[in-house]
Amino acid sequence: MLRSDLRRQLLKVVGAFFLAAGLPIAPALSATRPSAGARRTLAAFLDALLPRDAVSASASDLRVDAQLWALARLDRRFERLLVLGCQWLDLTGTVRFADLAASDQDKVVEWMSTSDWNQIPRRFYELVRQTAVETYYSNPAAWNGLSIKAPPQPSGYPPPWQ
Amino acid sequence: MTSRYDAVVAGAGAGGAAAAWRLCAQGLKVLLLEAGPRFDPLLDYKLHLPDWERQVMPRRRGSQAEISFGAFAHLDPGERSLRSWNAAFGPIVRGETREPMGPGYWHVLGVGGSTLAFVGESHRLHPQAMQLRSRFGVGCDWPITYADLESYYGLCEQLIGVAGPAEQGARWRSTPFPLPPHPLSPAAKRLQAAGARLGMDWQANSRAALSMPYDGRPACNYCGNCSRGCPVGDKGSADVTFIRKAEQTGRLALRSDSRLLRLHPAAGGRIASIEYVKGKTTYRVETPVLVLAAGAIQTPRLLLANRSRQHPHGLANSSRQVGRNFMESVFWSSTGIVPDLGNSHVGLPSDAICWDFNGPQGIPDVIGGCRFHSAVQEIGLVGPIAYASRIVKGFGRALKEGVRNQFGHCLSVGAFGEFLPNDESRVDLDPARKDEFGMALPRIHSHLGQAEVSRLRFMAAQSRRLLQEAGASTLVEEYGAWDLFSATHVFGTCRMGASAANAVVDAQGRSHDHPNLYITDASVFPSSGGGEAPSLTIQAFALRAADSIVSGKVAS
Repeated sequence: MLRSDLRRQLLKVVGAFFLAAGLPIAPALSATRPSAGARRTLAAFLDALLPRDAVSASASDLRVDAQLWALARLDRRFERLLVLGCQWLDLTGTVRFADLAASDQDKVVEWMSTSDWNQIPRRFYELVRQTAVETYYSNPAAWNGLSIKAPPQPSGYPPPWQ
Repeated sequence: MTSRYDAVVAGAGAGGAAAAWRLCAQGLKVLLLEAGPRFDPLLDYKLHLPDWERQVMPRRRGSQAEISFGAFAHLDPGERSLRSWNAAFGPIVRGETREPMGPGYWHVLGVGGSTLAFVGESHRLHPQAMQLRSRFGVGCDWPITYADLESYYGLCEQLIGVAGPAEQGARWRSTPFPLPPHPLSPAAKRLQAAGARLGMDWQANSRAALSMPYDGRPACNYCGNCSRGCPVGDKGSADVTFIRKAEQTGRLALRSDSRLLRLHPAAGGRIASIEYVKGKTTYRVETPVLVLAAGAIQTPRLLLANRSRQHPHGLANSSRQVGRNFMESVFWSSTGIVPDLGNSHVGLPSDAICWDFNGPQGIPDVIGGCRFHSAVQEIGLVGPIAYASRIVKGFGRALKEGVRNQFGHCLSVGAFGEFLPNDESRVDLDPARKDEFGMALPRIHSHLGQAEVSRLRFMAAQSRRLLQEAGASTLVEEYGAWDLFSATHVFGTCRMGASAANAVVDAQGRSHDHPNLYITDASVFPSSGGGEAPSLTIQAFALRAADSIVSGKVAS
C-alpha cells in the first residue's frame, strides 16, 4: 500500500500531466473500470518496460502492476488513461498485446516511445514508464547489480570512499 | 510563560529563528509564529525507507504555500543551447515560453523553514557584491558593508557549527570556522583535479553540516540526501540550531501552524498588534516590536495584503518598493557520464566549490558573478529512480542494464549566478486567487534580463568544458534558468536602503514607515550576490537587526 504522502505526490504528477497536455481522448474509445484483460495487458506492458533478466526480477514479479492499479483507484483520470492505453495496446495486433511475441511487443513500445507527444500512446508510455520505474526501483529486490545495497540511512556512506 | 511579549517574530526560517534566538539570548520574551508545522525528523524524514527517492522534502499539511505566477517570457530560439533536457525524457519544456519547474518556488513552511530542505551551504557574500551600483554602475548598493556583518557571520558559524577551509579569498574573516572541512567525495575530487588542469581553483565548500560531533549533535554520515530532511541532526537547519538554542533560554514561545494575517498600525505608524490564526481560533497579540521573516515572497504579500484607507498601498510601502526588485539565483547544471568514476552518489552535497568567477567582474563582458560547485547529490542523482527517470533512455533490458552500468558514474557541475533587479520581476497580489483565509495569493513575475542570459551562457560553457576535462564521455542532462523558473533563493522584495524614498527598510532592517517593524529575511537584500547561498547572510543580518532592537529598547 502506498503511503499517503507518496499517493499525493503521484496523483499530483498525474493531474499535472493531464492539465498540461489538454490530453485529447478519442470519443470512440470508452473508458470503463479495468477488466481482467486490461490488467493482463498492463502487466505485459510493464514487463516490456522492465523485464526479468539474469540479475533482477520483472515489474510484474515485484507487483508493480498491482501498485499502479491501486494508484488508479485514487484518481479516475489515471485509471482512464491506463484503461485507454491498454485498449489501444490491444488494438495494435491481431492478438492482444499480452499474447504478442516479446520482439513484437518491443516494436510496439519502441514506436510509442517516439510517437506524437500529444497523443495517447506517447502520454501513456511516458507516464506509465515514469510511475513504473519509481515503483520498481523502490523495491530493494530491483537493486541487484547496483552499488547501492540499502537506503541512505541509518548507515550513510561514511568515508573512506573508493 | 506570560502572554505578553517583548517581541513577536513571524516566520521560523533562517531569519526569524536567528532573530528570535538573539532576542531571547539578551533577555527578551519572544513569541515566534510559524505558519507551517513542526517536523519530527525521526518520523517525517524517510531516508531509511527503500522508496526514499520518491519524494524530495516530505510534505505535511500546511508545509507548502499556494503561489501564483505571472506570464513568463517567450523563449528566444537563438538561445536554444540553454534549454533544459535529459537523456531519458528529451527537452523538459516543450512549449515556447519559460515555465515553472515543479512548484517553481521551492520552499518549506515549518519550524526551520526552507533550511529544513537546504543542502546546507554556508556562505558569506562577496564584499563587492554589496556595492554593485557604486563600483560597477548596475543594481543597487547595500547600505551596510561586509565589515558590518563580519562579526555576525562568525557568530552564526559558531552557533551552527559550520565546517570550512582556512581561506575563502575575498571573504576575509576574523575567526576561523569552528570545524574542519569535510572530506571531498569521489565526484568532488574529480572536479577538483579537472579544474586544476583548466586553471580553476576548487576547494572544500563551507557547509552547515558537522564534520565532527559538535554542541551535542552528531557528525554527518554522508548519506548525500540533505535536501530530503536530515534525520541525523548534523545539518545546521534552523530548528536544531537557533530555535533549539532559543528554547533553551526559556523565553521563547513557539507557535507552529499559526498564520499571521493582520497587522494593526496605530497612530504614529507603530504596529500596535497583530492577529494570527491557529486552527479555527484567531488570536490578537499586542507587541512592542514585530519582526517579519516570512521570506521574499510571503513578507511582501503580507504587507501588500494589509492595505487600508490609511495605507492604500499596503504597510511599509510609502516607497512603493514592496514587492519590487524581485531577484532569484540564476542556475545551471550539466551532467555527464564519466566511465572511470564510481560511487558519485556518496558524500556531502555541494562539498566542493569554485569561487574564481564569483566577484562582480568575474565573468567576461557582464557585471555579476557566479560560482561552480559539485552538484551530483544536490540535483538528486543518488539512486536508481533518478537514473531510470532522467539518465537512461528507453525501456526493456537496455533500460535495466543502463541503470546498472551507469549508476554512480554521473558527474555534475552546478552553478548559481547573480540576478540583477529589473522592472518586470516582482511579487504582487493575484487579483483572482485567494487562500483559505481570503488573502490574495502572492504572484511571482520573473523576467531574465540580457545580463542573466549572458551569465547563463558562461555558466553552461564552463560547466561543459569542465566535464569534458573530467573525462565525461557524454552529456546526459542539463537544467537551467533560461527555460525553467526553479527558485530556492529569492530576494529583494522589501529592499534595504538608507532613503525612505526608495527602500522599505533601513540598514538595521527597520521599516522606514513603522518604527517598531523589522524585516529579517532575504526580501531586504538589495542584490542577490554572485551565487552565494543566502542563509548565513540572512542569519547574520537578523542577529544585527536583533541587536539594534535590543539596543533601542535599552536606549529608550
